[in-house]
Amino acid sequence: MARKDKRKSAKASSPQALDTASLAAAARCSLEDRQYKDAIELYRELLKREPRPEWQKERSEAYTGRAVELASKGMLKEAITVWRNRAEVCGTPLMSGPYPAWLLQSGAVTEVVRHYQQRLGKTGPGSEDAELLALEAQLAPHLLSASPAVLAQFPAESPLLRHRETARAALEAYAGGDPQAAAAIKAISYRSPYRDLGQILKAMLALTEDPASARTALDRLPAGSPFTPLADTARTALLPLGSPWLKRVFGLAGAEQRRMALALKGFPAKWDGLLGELARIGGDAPALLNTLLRYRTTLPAETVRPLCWRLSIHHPDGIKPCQQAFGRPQQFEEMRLQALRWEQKNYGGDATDTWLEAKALLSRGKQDQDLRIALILRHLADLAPPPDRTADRRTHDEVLGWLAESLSDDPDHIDTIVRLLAGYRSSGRLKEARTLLDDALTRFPEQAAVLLEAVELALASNAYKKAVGYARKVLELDPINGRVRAILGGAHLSHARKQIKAAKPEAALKELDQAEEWLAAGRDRGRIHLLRAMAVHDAGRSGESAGWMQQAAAELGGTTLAYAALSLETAQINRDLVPYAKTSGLTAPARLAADEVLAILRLLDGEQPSPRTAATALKPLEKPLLGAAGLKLSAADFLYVLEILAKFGQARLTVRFAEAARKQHPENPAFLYYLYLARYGDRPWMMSDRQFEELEQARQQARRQGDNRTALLIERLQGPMAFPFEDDFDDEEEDVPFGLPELPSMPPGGLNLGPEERAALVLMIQSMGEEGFIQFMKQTMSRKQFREIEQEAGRENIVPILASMLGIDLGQILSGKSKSTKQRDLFDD
Amino acid sequence: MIDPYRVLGLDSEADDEAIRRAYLEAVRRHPPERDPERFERIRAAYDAVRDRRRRISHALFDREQPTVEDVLECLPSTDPPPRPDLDQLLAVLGGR
Repeated sequence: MARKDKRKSAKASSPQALDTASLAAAARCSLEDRQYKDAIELYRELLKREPRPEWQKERSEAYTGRAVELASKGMLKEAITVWRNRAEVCGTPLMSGPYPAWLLQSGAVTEVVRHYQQRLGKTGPGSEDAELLALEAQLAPHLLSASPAVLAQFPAESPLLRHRETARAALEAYAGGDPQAAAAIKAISYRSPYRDLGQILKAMLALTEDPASARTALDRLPAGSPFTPLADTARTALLPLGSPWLKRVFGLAGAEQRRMALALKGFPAKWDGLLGELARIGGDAPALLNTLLRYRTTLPAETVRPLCWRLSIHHPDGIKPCQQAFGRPQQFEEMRLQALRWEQKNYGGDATDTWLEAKALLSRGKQDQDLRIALILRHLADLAPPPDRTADRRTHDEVLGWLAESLSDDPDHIDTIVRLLAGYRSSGRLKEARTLLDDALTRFPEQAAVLLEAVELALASNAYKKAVGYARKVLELDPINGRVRAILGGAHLSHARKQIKAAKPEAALKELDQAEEWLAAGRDRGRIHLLRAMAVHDAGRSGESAGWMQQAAAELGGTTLAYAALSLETAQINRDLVPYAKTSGLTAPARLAADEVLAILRLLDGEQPSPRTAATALKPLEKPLLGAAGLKLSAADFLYVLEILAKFGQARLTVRFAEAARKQHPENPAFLYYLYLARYGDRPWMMSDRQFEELEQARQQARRQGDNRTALLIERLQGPMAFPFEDDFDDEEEDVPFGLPELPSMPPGGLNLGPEERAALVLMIQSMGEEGFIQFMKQTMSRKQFREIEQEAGRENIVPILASMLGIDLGQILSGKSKSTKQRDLFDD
Repeated sequence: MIDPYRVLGLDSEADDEAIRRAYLEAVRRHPPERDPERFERIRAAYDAVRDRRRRISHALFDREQPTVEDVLECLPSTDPPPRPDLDQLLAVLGGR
């Protein structure tokens, strides 16, 4: 019978009803399981039947366990009673083990002193009797404040009396702030029963000035020292102010200890109530605000008010509780708090509106107000979605407008100048960028960030020589500036590709010579050599090609990676891989090692080709990649592989790797997500109920494991925001990487609209842009309705979802969609 | 960082120079090798208010939720704290 069952049956039936063997087994189980109360009962019955010495011993153990258990819960009186019962029933010595300490803690000093005297009478003074020494140690802290009557009960030669005055002098010197306190503490002898006190006082002297040595001194204290309560109290002072400190302080057993712990951090007794509440509250903002508001009259106004207003941003009732306590704040402050509340709730649109209203209350020309206006405008730019995440040119232009306006109020902010320059450049507003740059270069001629933007802008304007001039200036200021080298080198590589594509290999080789000037890293050199191999092949110098390719392979990490890189390069310029590979002596690998798989995907990720180019590049490698899915990979490596494959729309490979990952790491819910993303990403409604349920379980598991990213991705897959996952790339629009949730995919006919209504909606989105349409919705709907939609879909998803339901291509109808900045037009012939 | 001025022991009107001096003094008193947590707070406080733009920005946009720690820092306390008196020590030692 299992142990649990034995105890259960002993509990279920009365002990009297059990036979002796079962009873003995049940008693033993209870003792081992620390069910001391049950064990005492069972042994009582057992010993009634037969007084076996081993049962007697085990009953005594059960009593000890029960008493210690009670004492650890602070139930000293009950612990003392159990210990007395133990002595009576089991015939064990009463004044033993932790009993004297419990008596002392409960104030029964006289009883312990009486016992000490009896023991001393038996052993004689100067005895090395262990029990006597233990009693001396336990009595020591109590004797420091004992009355003369108690002290009189000790013989003059007792070490407790002989060392007491020295210990007391040290205590008084420390408490009185005596400059000689250290010497007084040092005077406590090593053989003194008060020596632990000396150690603690030494630590307390160092608490504020040298916390590290204080900690070391306290750590040296022996376990179970009778001076532990003082040491524990001192230890709290070593913690920084905060919740853990408060919890430790209020976890101390005695009220005196708690008061001293608070005093050691400089808090007077009047704050004890508030501090006790704070210890219970923890990080709960509403509870914290309510507590502070209750104590507001006793706390200094300049302390409590700012804290309360700040907490109101996080309170479900907003500023109301504070308003009732302190009155209405000034209008700007009210707006500011409201805007921060919107931000806290992720209502970006409302936050923007409220900040704009707040800004309108400020007047230019007044002290600090110009700067405040500038900072609010920059903050609005920070709140806006990044330009690559919105198709709405209006929002992007609005952001650039805010940044430009902010510079009129605070013209010297370099970061804003650079941000605005980049914004103008990426949206093709080169004239405005040049005007701003000229002014910035006049005022900040040696600012590397401005000069870097000058390089970028010159490249965007096809002014290559100018770009090199600026780049050289950047390198004069900062000789190891990698970014400027990457920008210029990258531009040459890009141009070299174009020359190869345009069948101008000699021109391409010249570009590669120039690229070499700027790019020094091994991987970059590998790309240069590889393009050289292609160019010399095209120039009819096939003999040189293999040599360059060998050098490329050496830099890139082997022939497999060189082959993958060549495949990518040929895909990027629409060339056939085979002739180049043949001339260079490269062949497709038959199988891949795990690190080669990772390196190939890193190569792809680094180049960021379009999904179609990626598909072409991976085609010759598909077989070995499929074969590599069964290789042993860590969960992190699998995640990386799947992330990249999904990003580039590699459905078949994703399925294979996700299945392998699930076999190797069944505990990770992310792999089921990738599997279903690849299978059903563009049509989640095709999932069976069982699969949907399986996915839901994976989502819940991810949440439980704290993997919020996976949980969120699964939610998106489950909802209407499905990823479009395609196997072919016939679409004209290949700039949108389709492994990411850029646009939702919905079954056609999601909205029941007539053709005219549909056309009207399309026209409105087209003419107003995304943000304009959202504003229109806000004005025509109730605030509640709009909020519900915004919460449900997320502000940035409202128009894409609607477009999907209308079955329209948002990218196409928004004519002003900003183009990717990735492709430079510098060398367009 | 709810109240960087308090961490640096300054009032909210302090200028760049006063803030820098207070920062250097605080770092001298709490060097990273001896008191790394305190040093980190001091550095974060200085970062939040070291120039006028940052000071106004912090005042306008910082919405970090105050914690118990912030409340504790704002409570009036004696610095450096006084040593416990003899009665308090004896009470903790269990005598009274």
